[in-house]
Amino acid sequence: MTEHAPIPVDTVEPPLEPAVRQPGTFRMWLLTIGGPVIWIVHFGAVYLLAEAACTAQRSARIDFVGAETLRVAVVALTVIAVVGCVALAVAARRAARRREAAVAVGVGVPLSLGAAVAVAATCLPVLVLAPC
Amino acid sequence: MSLTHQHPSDRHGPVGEPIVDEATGLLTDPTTPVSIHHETTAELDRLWDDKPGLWGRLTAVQNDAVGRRMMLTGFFFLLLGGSVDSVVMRLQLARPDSEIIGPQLYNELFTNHGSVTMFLVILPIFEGFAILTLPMLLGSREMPFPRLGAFAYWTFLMGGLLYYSSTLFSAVPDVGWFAYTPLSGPRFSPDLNVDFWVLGLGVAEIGAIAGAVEIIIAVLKLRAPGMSLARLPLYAWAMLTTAFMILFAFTPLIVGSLLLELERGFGMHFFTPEAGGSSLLWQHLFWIFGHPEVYIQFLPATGIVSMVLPVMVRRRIAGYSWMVAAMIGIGFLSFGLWAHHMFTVGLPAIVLAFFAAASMVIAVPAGVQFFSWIATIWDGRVRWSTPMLFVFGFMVTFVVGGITGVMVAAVPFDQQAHDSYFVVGHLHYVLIGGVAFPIFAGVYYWFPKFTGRMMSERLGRWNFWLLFAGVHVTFFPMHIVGLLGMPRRIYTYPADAGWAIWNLISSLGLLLILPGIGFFMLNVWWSRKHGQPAGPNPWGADSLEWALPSPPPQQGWTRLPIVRTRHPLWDQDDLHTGDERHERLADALGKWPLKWRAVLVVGTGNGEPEEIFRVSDTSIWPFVTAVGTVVIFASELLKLRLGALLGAAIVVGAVLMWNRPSPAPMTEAEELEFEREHGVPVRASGSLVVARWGMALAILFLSIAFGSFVLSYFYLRLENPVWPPAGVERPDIWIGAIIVALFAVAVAAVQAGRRGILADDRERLLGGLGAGITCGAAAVALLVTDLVQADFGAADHAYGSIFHTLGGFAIVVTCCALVMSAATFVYGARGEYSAHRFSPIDNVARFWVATGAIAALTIAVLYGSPYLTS
Repeated sequence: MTEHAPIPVDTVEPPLEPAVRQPGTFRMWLLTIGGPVIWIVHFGAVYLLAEAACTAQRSARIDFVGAETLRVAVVALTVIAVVGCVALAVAARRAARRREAAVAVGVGVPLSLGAAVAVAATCLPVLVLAPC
Repeated sequence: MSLTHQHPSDRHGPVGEPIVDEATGLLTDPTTPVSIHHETTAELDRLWDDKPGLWGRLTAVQNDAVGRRMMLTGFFFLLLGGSVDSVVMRLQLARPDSEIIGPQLYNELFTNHGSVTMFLVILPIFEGFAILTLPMLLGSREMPFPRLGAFAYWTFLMGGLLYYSSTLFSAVPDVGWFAYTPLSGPRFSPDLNVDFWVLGLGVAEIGAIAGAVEIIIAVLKLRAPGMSLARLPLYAWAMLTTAFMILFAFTPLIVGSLLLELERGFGMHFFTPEAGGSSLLWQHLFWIFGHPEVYIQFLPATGIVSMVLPVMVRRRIAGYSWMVAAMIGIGFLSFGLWAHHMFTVGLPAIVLAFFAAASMVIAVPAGVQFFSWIATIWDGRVRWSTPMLFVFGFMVTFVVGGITGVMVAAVPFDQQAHDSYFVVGHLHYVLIGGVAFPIFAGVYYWFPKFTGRMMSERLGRWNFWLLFAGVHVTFFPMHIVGLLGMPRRIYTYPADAGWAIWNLISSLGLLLILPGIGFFMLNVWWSRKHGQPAGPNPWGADSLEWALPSPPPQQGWTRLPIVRTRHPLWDQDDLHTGDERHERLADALGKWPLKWRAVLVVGTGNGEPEEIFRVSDTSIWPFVTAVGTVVIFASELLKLRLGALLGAAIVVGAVLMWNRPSPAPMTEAEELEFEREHGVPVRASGSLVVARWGMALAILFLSIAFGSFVLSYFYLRLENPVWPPAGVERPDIWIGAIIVALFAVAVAAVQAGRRGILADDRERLLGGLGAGITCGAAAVALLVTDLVQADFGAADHAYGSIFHTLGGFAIVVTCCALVMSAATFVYGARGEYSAHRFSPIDNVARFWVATGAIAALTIAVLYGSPYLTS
């Protein structure tokens, strides 16, 4: 492929379409679905940790992870995940302001912020419930 | 651009009837642009068409043939499994103490009803619909792998028939659509009933994944010039998300089904607690598929609604970005809900809380979608045509199903309502309101595009109102009777239970639903011949397919459209002007090359032309491959192990024939000349870009399967205090190290071969491939020897079963790599590859990297983890 002229992205009024920069594919997907990916990785991690700890405890074999350790680990993972989601939302917002193609549709910001809320909501119970 | 294009409401009467073009007398909107007639249209139409006759039907690969067949097959199975079963069940439950049918037949009916509708009806309808419409909608000529699409169809059909053939042997599955162990295990279901369920539906699951691969690549790579992701129609976003979900959801189910069949047919132990297995492992593997499956059905429906509703209210969708975000969000969140089907099995309290929270959170993106649709309606003027009536029915009905869904997401409520008729009412509101109504809306909306005739509005209104009323009369009382304590899956109930009146009302509701469906069938049959003739754009719609003639030519777009906005038919005065390079390229593709089926590939994000390649044409081999697949599964059903080997041989042979190189219709010099003139590479021997995407998705599929096996391994490990079991030696880690080293050498050798062909050095290519094959074969031989010589058998205990199964998986993957390498070695020796045409080598090299990684991780798990976790 030879050099491209800047490609317009969609706006409300086609004649007013701005010239935009093209982001790399990885960066585009990172800013678009990075938040949900963090959510699912975090969800898988805390679920597997809880399942492993509680199954081991139930079988009275090994204290794989103590109850308090499990709680701390889940909270720590949650804080890390929320920070990651918020950081991605900020980066997506900046990219949208620079009108980078595809990211400019604004999908990344609500997805990352929504993922941050979902991460926090998923793990709120660990503050009030006995882990196992 | 005029305001009229943005707000076409002025061009429709107050009752919202489509307008008549006075020049042609056809129902169409004359103010929207249409595709220009090209002098090569007829020639391309012939080039793209499938062959006539029986042979032509067996070899057909064209997207409209495949798409139509999948949809019709789905409707056929709907009539068999959706309608007949439900009528008999409702007749049985209409009165208390009824003995119209016995408990065994009732078990078979509800198993069949759930299994068929979840596996054989909605999925092929939506995948078929996507295969049929996406090329036109995206401004492309074809799907990326037409032969894979044909294979997907044949496996759907044959899998469904294999499943239904159980009736011929009086062995109809009777363990529910979820087939819980131990009920579905060999101890409690020793006959073939469950084998028909596992193996018949297993074939169809393979078809679902094949179709998903087609759809993903079509949406991401096969679009019109200028159609960036930001301009993608919402239906395409919905299908893209759905297709990825199919890949991630169906693969664990295939793994689970394999484990179940290994337990049933080979005496292994994955779900038998006495031998170290866990019946909950099956539930996890099933519901990791089962819950996303609901959204796999719901998301395409929301895509259809998002296309139909804005046209019917004559306004752009409100909050496009939010709608896309909601679709993607639902896709992800749906994978965090599976254990809410397991709230009563005794999972740890904190795990229940995680899943309950996620189950409630998913209501947020679903709510975003609804507010977006409501805002769009609010801003427009509703045209109450039949498609809009079904959209209205969808919105009303699905909201009820969604709210009861949030109710059962709460653990205390679910523990009361679990396995009651409340859940039956909830899921039918979701699946009929959220899925069936949009399907009807889509059929009424797109029917004129594919037949050139409108469906009858009068019959359509009868169809809708009878169905709408019938659905609510039938399914709303189920909530009440469920709260009164009526459990699911009982074939009768006592008169004094207080459930009789509600069941009678539910059964009477069918008297409305059945004629409603009858009006639909009558409408389709009548309108095909007698419907009002439709022009290109009878609804005054905004998306690309409505610029094509109704019905469109085989290739769809002779001259590709140039997309400059998200609503090209409302915002653009014509579809063939734009960026000068796009114009020249579209013009060249319209005239040239006519000797082969040329398709344009664009950049994923920006929609810029990236490659032109020759898409595959008619072939018998997808059909033969599907037959081979069914032979494997049917042989396993009958415990004919040699037959399974024969089926495997057929599959390998057919896939090799399917992919064998055919003479390129252009020389390399001609390809380079076109590239110099237009700035876009041409690959008449096959795509590099699309092939890479195909290989990446194949590797993703294998990775998900591998991940499912590994999670199963560690799940069983957790359930067993002693691992390996007492008396079993831990594997020799040095043998594992040697196997990994051999794989590393094989991968490096094949990579060296790839670099060789890029330098046009055929000797290096053959040397690299040869060394890779030798080392890979040695690694497999060593692994097989170690498995065979182990001091425990695959049927001894859960450890032995998962050890041999995971090892076997690595062996099968490596054998695939060896077969691919051997084939490319032969073709390489014949001089088929060069520095310009090296796509198959590229793919083999990538597959070897994945094979090496899977093998190394397998060895780490099997040989290393017992030392770390004992």
